[in-house]
Parts: sequence; C-alpha cells; structure tokens
Amino acid sequence: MLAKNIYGETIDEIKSKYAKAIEDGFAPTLAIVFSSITRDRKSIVDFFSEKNVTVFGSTTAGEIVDDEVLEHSSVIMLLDMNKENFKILREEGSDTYSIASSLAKKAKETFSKPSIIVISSGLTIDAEQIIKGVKDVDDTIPLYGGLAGDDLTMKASYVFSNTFESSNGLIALVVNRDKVEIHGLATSGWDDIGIEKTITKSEGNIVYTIDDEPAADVFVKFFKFAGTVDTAAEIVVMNFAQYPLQLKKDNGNVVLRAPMMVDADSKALIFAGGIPQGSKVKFSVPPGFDLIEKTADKVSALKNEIKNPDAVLMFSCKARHLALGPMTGDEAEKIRSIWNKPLIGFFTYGEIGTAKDSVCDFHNETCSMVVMEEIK
Amino acid sequence: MEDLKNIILSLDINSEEKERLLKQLKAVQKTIDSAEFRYQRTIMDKAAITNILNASISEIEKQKAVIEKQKKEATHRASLDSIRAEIASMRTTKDLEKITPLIWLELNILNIPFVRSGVVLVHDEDTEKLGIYLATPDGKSIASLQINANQTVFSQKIFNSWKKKQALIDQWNETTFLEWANSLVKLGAIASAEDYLMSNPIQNLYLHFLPFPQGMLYVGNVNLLTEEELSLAQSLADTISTAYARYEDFNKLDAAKQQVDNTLKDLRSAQQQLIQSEKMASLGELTAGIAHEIQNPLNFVNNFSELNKELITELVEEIKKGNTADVDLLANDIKENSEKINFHGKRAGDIVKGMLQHSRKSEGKKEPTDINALCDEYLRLSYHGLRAKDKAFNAKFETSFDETLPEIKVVTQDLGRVILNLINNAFYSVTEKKNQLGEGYEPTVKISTKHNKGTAEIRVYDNGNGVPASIKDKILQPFFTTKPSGLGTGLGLSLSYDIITKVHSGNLTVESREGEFAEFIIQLPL
Repeated sequence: MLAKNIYGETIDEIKSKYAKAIEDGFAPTLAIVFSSITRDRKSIVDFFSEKNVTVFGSTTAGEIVDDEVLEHSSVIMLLDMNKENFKILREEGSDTYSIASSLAKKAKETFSKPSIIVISSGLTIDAEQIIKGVKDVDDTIPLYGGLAGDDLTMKASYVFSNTFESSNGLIALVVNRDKVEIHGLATSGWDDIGIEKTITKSEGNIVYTIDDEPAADVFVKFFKFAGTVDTAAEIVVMNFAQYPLQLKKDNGNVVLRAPMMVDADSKALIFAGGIPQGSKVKFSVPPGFDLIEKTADKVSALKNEIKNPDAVLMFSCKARHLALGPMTGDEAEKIRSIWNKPLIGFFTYGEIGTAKDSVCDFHNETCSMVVMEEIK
Repeated sequence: MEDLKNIILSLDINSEEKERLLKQLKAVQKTIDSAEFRYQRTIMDKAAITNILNASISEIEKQKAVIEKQKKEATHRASLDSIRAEIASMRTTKDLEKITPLIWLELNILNIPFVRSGVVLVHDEDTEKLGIYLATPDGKSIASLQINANQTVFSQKIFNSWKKKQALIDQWNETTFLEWANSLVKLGAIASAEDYLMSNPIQNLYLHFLPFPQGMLYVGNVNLLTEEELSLAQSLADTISTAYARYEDFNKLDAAKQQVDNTLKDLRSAQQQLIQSEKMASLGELTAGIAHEIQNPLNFVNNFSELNKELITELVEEIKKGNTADVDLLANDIKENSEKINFHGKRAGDIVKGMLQHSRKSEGKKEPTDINALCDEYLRLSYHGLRAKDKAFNAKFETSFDETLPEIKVVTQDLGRVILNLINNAFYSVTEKKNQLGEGYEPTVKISTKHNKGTAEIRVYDNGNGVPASIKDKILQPFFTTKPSGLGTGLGLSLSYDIITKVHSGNLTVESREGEFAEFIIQLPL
C-alpha cells in the first residue's frame, strides 16, 4: 500500500497537489481528510467523490502532516488500499453507547476480524461510551481514534464521509485485520502532583464538585495566572486543559481527564471523558521539554509490532499542542523519523487508544499513534 | 525580524546565499519563539505547581493537625477510660488509696503540669466527713486521712468550696505548707512533716481544687494552671466522679446483695419449718387413725391377759386338785394366749415405730415396698383418723389393687405421706360435698393400683366437687390451698408433687370434672 500526503488551504491548492500526486500512476482509493472547520471541506469531499475516492474525514483543532504542524488548513492522506479490505461505517445519535455498539456489530458483519479507527464528533459526549459500546460487542476488536476538534471555538465539530456529515456521530474506518495490520500506542508524559482529591459530585463527564467545592472554582483557584485570560470559559480552554486530572480507574488504567468547557451557572466542568462520582483524582502538570524525546522513545516501541508500516496516523491532544507550543512540530518530526513514512494527524479533543501495558481506553493529553500496513 | 528579513532581501548577494540566510533567520526566529514559549510555559507551570503544592501542603497540614488532635483526644479518652475502669474496680475504702497514684499518672498523660496531686472525697455531707488522699511528687500515695472538715482550717475551706460546687484556687508559701504538714502529722496521716516536705520542697505552690459531685480533685503546681489545663483537669474530675459513683453503686449493690442473701436464707429456714409443720400436721391427722389401729392390738392384749389371769386361777385350782390332764390343757391355752399377747404387743410396737418414722426427717433411703399394702394401710389410717376426729364422718371407700404389681423401690415414708395427703384431700372433698348436698349423695373414695408397662400407677379418686379448670395449674404450687384459712398450709400437694417428681422421678397429674370428680394419678417408674 502506498500513501501520499497532500495539504493546502484552498480547494484549488488541493486539486493541484492531487494532480501532482497521481502523476506517477498512483491510484488512491481512500482519502483520510483532517480539515479545519474554517476550510471548505464540502468542496474537498465533492472533489474526491468525483474521483471515486472514499473519504474518511474529521474536523480538527490543528493539523499535522509529516513534520509540519498547521492551523486552518486541510491535510489529506491518500492511500491505495484494496477496496475489499476496508469499509467506512457511520452512525449518528446522542446515545453514544448504542451507536458505538451498532457500529461494532456492523463492523463484525463486514469483516469477521475487523479493526476499527473511529472518530467521533460532539463536544460534550462521554467518549468512554464509545469504547464500552464496541468492547461489549467484541472486546478483541482493536480500536483506535479520537474526538474531532473545532479549533477551540467550542461550537461544533464534525465527522464526514462522501455522503455523510454529522456533528453528533461516529465515522469509522473498518479494515479487515487479516489484510491490514494496525497497531497503536498512546503516551502522555503528564506528571501527577499534589495530594489526592475526591470527586464529590459528578454525572458522566460533568464534574460538579471536587472535595465539595465547585469544580470550576477549584480550577480557577489553581490555574488563573496573572496576565492570562479572565473568564472561566477562557481559562478552561487556554489553561485548564493543560492541567488535567489524573484518574485511576477501576480497571487499573490511569487516564488523564482534561476539562473542555465550564457551565457558568453551576460552576461545573465538562470533561473530555467520564469521571465517576467518588473517584480519587490528582492534578497533573505538563511534562518538561524533554517530553518530545520521551514520547518518541516510547512510540518507537511500536516498531516491535510493525517494522515497516505504510502509513502513520497521529491523534494528538489539543492540550499537548498548547503545552508544547512551537515545539509541537519537533514532536511530529521525531515521531515521523522513527519510520520515515507518511504521517498524518490532527489535534483532538480526546484520544482512543492503548497505553503501555494496559487495555484500550479513552485518554486526554496523549499522543496516540496508529501504524498501518496492508499485507501483500 | 521583519527588518532583518528586509535587510537580507536588500543585500546585494546571490539568491542562493539569500535563501540560506533567510533559512537561518527562520531557524533563529523559531529558536527565539521556542525560548519565549518555554519561558512563558515555565512561568505558568511554576505558578500552577506552586499553587497546587501550597494547597497540598496546607491540606496535609490541616489533616496532620486533625490527626494530631484526634490522637490527643484519643489518648485523653483512653486515659480517662482507664481511670474509670480502675476506680470502678475498687471495692473497699482501702482500695481508694490507690486513687492517688492513678490521678498522678493521668495528670501526666493529660500533660497537666503539677508537682502535687490528690483527691478529697466527701464521705458524708451531713457530718462533713472527708477522706483526703494525697500523692507524693513521684506518684506514691503519701497520706490518706479521714477527718471532719472542721478539723483543719484548710479542710473546712475545701468543704465549703465543694458545697458551692466551686473550684478553689489557693497559693501557699513554705510557711503555709509547713503548717499543713504539721497538721497532717498531728492527725496521724503522715509520719513526719519533714518527710512530707523533704520529698519535694516547695517555696511557692498553687493549689487547684476542682469540684465533682462526690469531692474535689487536687492539682498543685508551681504556676497557676491555664484555662485549658483547668478544663482538662475538670474533665479528669468528672471522670473520677463517674467512676466513683460506680464504686459507690457497687458497694450499695454488694450491700443489697448481702441483704437479699440473708432474706433468702431466712426464707429457706422458714420454708423448712413449714415443711416440718406440714409433716407434723399430717402426723396429727394420723394420730387418730394410729390410735384406732393401736386400740385393736391393745384390746387383744388386754383381753388375752385378762383371760390368762382367769386361766391361771383355774390352773392353780386344778394343780391343787392334782388333775394333771386339765393342767396340761390350761397351760397350753395360757401359752397360746401369751403368744397372741406377744403378737399384738409387737403389732402395737410396729405401729408406734411407724408413727415415729413418719415424724422423723426422711433419710431418703429407697427400699423395696409393697405399694398395695402401703395404700391399704394409709387408707385405713386416714379413714379411722377422720372418723375419730368427727363421729359424723362417713364415706364409702373402695380399693382395687393390681396383684401383679411388684415391690418397687421408694422412700416409703415419703410416698406414704403423699398417699395419705391425697386420700385426706379426697375425704375432705367428699365431706364438703356431702355437707352441701346432704341425702342422696353417696361420698365415695376409691384407691386403685395398676401395673402398667414400666410404671406403677396409683389412682386416688373421689366423687367430690372436683378441681375447677381455673386452678388446675395452681394446685401443685406451694402455698396454694382452697381450704379455709387455718385448715391447710397449702404445702401438701406441692410437697407431694416434689416427692413424686424429684425424689422418685415420677409424675403426679390430676384429672377432674368440676362438680363431679377428681382423680389424682401417681406414676412411678419401675
């Protein structure tokens, strides 16, 4: 399988780069499209439909292509994967669990041994329900993916295919595991700090109180810095997400939970993942600047799974982008240099993947890598 | 940066060189951006980490303070609990002397500064009797004295303060101390004032007396105690109070228990007397019957001895006559009569012996006994006894004995007493009914025995008024009687019940229809 990346800000730019990409006779069957909400994704989709290329798409909060970190652009990975080996599935609805399990059932009907890369739109969904929905159908299905972004406007994110677009749904690239090998690893690097706190009131991914204090007040107390933004909503978006809560789950997984939005009335925080009432959490702080090396080191362990992948996908948390600032590109560069293969990704509002020595979970603040190889 | 870019662009160098410079410039720009970002990032993280750590530290300190407070409280509580347990376990006034070392220990645990300690107990409020218990500075009991409040000025002061439920705080110098020590010597509470003072010479002493319902806790210190220390000491005083109240309760309880024990003993001896009097009463009932029984052999003895007297007269005459054949005949008659006299004399003797046995305390020895004979004997004793007492008494009595009944091992006198009691009751009942109904009613008492499988059964039946269902359960209880007062002790049936069930492991039950009959059934294991 051959993969080629193209990117641009306008449809014309993309059209011309596409033309250049197929000059050598390359015949893509699949286009993975990660596009800023500010760009005209409709034209892109129409263009690929016209070319009979299947689209697997999502809006972003920043794009990654090879070693470049972009904003307000569209990045596209073109793949000539055998059409028999993959299928795009989609679901829409507010009951995340049931649409995820419906998706998993369809995936199993399509391939007896499917692997799934799923992206979900929706800003307040409890993404753990995606994993639960899939795993309850078949917990052997490899599952990776992330939550679509909307450039931190917090209005609406979208997933899309050639004929489908939803701000409240799932899009999945399902592959035949016997034909396409997929492996992934999620790494964070955030360090816990301070003493344990108790989530005294929460519902799904909405946390009302921490140690009986309104959740937003707790965060404002710690993370409202002089000279930074003022309103709670802004503080959340700009600062809080870099200081996520570290949650030790019942299954032993340690996951990070970043606040996404604040409810001004109840002073509740809406997190990018569920935090059960009564659970113990700690604050965590961004890692030092050696994070990039550490991440690259950890990711290179994937080499043991696939030595020579055809393509690399990267679902990186938006908070990482904020925490690493101008050095985010360095991370992409480091990771890309592990395999030196086309890499595409975007900054997400949450990642679905597998941390080292653990089972699939929903994460925040991770760099969640997926490597693919089509077996010849 | 823009300036630099413009300068490079305006430089008069080839485009390759320009490109290289611009690239370098871009790299420099990125480095600067990164550095600036790192700087900002570091400031933010430092602030965040500082905030979190400060909050964590203050939280931990808060928790530490809470834990320390809890620990302190727990220690205090444990300490107070232990003194409570110790004091509550004291039993005598002598034990009370152990209070002072305890208080000394507790004051130490509670961290109350002191050089002297003790307790004053008000033993009698009206007579102002005090017990003063003092400890040496190293916690040993040094003085224990029982005085009246007015015996020393200071004890009066303490007592007055206690009456008002007020704490007493006083300051002493060496002189006052010596005066007090001397008064203790005078009262004989301590051997010598010197010993008392030498143990820890004090120039200046603050005495704190904290009241509790039964006395005052004493804490002596070189400084005045703080409010907090006083309140701690007061909690110790309250604990001593609770514990001392327990001590007093126990003493009262002990006294009460002693009283109960004595009462019980009195009751037991009263009961013993009652049982004996019941025996004597039944003996009284027997006496008439026995007299009748004895009369019979006595009649024989009298008659035969009269007869022998006449026969001897005849014999003398016949000897004189030399009529030897008649002499032989007469001598033979006399001999036979003497044997009869002897037989009946013995019989009377046996009856007397039986009577004595009856009145004697039962030795509880079980002997093989012919139950049928026993029943027959006591039926007759009872009947004749009642006849002797009351000429008008008359009742039909029937017996039906099972001859197959073997001898069984019983305490003969005891069982006899039971049978007698039941028969007497039966006769009493039918007599009552006869008195009520008069002619047309035939009073009947039946006694029967039966050899059942494994048991011997004795039934005493009467066609009297029967036992009302309402009292059927009560009639076997001690002191229950339906007889007019003075006619029964109420112990007859209950004793009978005990004799049958406890002594013989048998059963005593009653069947009855009110107004028609009553039947008492004794079942004895063979």
